[in-house]
Amino acid sequence: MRFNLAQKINLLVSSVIVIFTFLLGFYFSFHEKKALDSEFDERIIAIMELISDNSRYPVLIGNIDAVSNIVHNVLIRKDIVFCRIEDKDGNLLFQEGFRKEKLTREYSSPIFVEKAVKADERVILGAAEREKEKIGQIILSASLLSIEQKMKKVNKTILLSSIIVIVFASFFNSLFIKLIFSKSVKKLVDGTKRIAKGDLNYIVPIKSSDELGELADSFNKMTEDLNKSRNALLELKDNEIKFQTAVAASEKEKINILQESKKSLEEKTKKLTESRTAMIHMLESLDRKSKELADIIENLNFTQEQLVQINKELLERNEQLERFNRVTVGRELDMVKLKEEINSLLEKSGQPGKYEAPGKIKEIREKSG
Amino acid sequence: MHKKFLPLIFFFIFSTSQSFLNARASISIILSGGVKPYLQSIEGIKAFFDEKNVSILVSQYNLEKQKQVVVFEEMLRKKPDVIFTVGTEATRLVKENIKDIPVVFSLVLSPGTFIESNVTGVLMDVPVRVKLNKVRKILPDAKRVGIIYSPESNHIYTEVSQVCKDIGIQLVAKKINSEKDLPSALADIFWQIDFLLMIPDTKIYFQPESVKYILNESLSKKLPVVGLSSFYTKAGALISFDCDYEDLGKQAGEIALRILNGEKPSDIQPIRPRAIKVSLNLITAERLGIQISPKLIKEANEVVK
Repeated sequence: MRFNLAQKINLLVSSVIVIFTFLLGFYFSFHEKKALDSEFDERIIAIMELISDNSRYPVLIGNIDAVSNIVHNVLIRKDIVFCRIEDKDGNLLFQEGFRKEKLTREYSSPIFVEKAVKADERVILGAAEREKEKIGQIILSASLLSIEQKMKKVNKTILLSSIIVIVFASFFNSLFIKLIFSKSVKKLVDGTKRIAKGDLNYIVPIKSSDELGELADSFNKMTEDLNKSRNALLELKDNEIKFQTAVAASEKEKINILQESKKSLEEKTKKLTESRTAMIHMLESLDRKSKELADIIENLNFTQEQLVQINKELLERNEQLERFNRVTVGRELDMVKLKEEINSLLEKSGQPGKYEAPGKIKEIREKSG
Repeated sequence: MHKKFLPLIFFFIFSTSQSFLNARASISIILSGGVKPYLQSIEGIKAFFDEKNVSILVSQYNLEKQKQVVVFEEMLRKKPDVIFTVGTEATRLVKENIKDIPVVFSLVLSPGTFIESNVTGVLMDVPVRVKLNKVRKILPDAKRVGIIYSPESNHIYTEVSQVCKDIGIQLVAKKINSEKDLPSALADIFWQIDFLLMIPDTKIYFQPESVKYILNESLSKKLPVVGLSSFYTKAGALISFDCDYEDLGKQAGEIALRILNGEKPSDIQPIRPRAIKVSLNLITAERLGIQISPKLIKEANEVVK
């Protein structure tokens, strides 16, 4: 029969629970028995003391009737099965009951009386020296049946409680192990299997912060390291193969390779030369374009000067027109003409006409007649 | 004629006593032990001589602390004028060993055993008449008194019998030979008596178990018991009588002075205590259903309540 780890742990913990529970049960049972015994002894000793007190004087004076009454009264009490009262020499004064019953415990107690050492006036004065004198003995047998019955009940209760405790504890233990332990261990086992199959990229999905979590982290770290090591090894292996291939290649192949390399170099050189020529042409073209551009810029500068001059003239003409306009309306036509001239000049300079269109001027001409 | 001689007689007595008293009297005191009543008795002796201005030279011995041989050797060497014995044990020893020195005892119960020509003293048992008169005050309806006695206490029975006749109380007495007969004797007389009088009989009333039995039985049968001392009252007796131990010592001192003055001890009869103390147990009285007047309670020297 094979057990997995969880089962083994479960078995171990359950065994411990069983042993512990039974030990605890034995402990309780033992102490209960002890307590019952002690209580029983105390009760019987109290009865003995009572008998001793009551029987002291009857025994002292040898009053058998009184002694027998005491014995009768004692036997009425619970658990007392036998009582015997003897004088100081061990002679029977009175006894009753069955001494040798099963499950009995025997008790004995001497009967003492206090006697004045000297019967003189000191007795009357309350200052007499007293001594204890043994005048007899009480022997009592008490049945332990009541204790046994109580113990049976106690043991039954303890046993039942133990079984309940064991069952519940084992159940919760297995549940706990299953929930907390087995799942994680299973994940680890699965991970191990997958890694064994070569899946070094697998990560064990345990996120707990306990030792199992730490184990899973270590496991994942180990897998990662293993993966890296494997890749490095593979690369190394490739390089080695390449190296070996290269070493193993023939001289011819080497020359071919060199010639091919040479050809490739020559082609590349040629392409480079062509590129350089094209570049020189491009540079020459660029130089020409630069010069043209310089001329254009120079022309543009000249045109600008011209425009400034025209602008000045326009301004002067405009002033004149203004003056003329103010002097006479009849000269409007001239002005219109002037305006047309200005407009044409502006158009020449590439600017829009400043005055109204010639249609309008015509309209004005018609109006003026 | 008589009148002529009277001054002479007074002069003679005065001169003889003074002549003796001018000398210092030597006395030895022997104690049976160190219990308080013994010491109180000694105080009484000394106080008496002080009161009488008699100078005494005292040698004191305690038989519990000193060896008997040493005590008697020293005493015989000193030859005291009078020996005081306190307690039965000291009296018995001195009576047995010393015959030529006057002995005055105190705190002794049985005078019979100490009758010797050189021995006299003060007994400690309270007179029965005193006891019964006092009891009648507390129990006015009591007409019958019971006693249980043994051959040892025959003389007390005789005394009780005489007193009962004198004061008109019926005596119911039961004689027993040992304490074993006590329960049956008690059972016999219980129903016939109104109260039980304990007497100083060592066979019957001196063992704790017997006293306990009597007191328990009397309580259960609601019978008042007159005890032997306040110790018995505390144990459950209704009433008890003690003597004043210091006064007992003074009485012994008086006897000693008479001897020192020339009287013979054999001519002086042992005397009874004159100062009596009464102790009452009100708890017992309550249990017995006895009402004791406040006056009597006030008169009592010791009350248990």
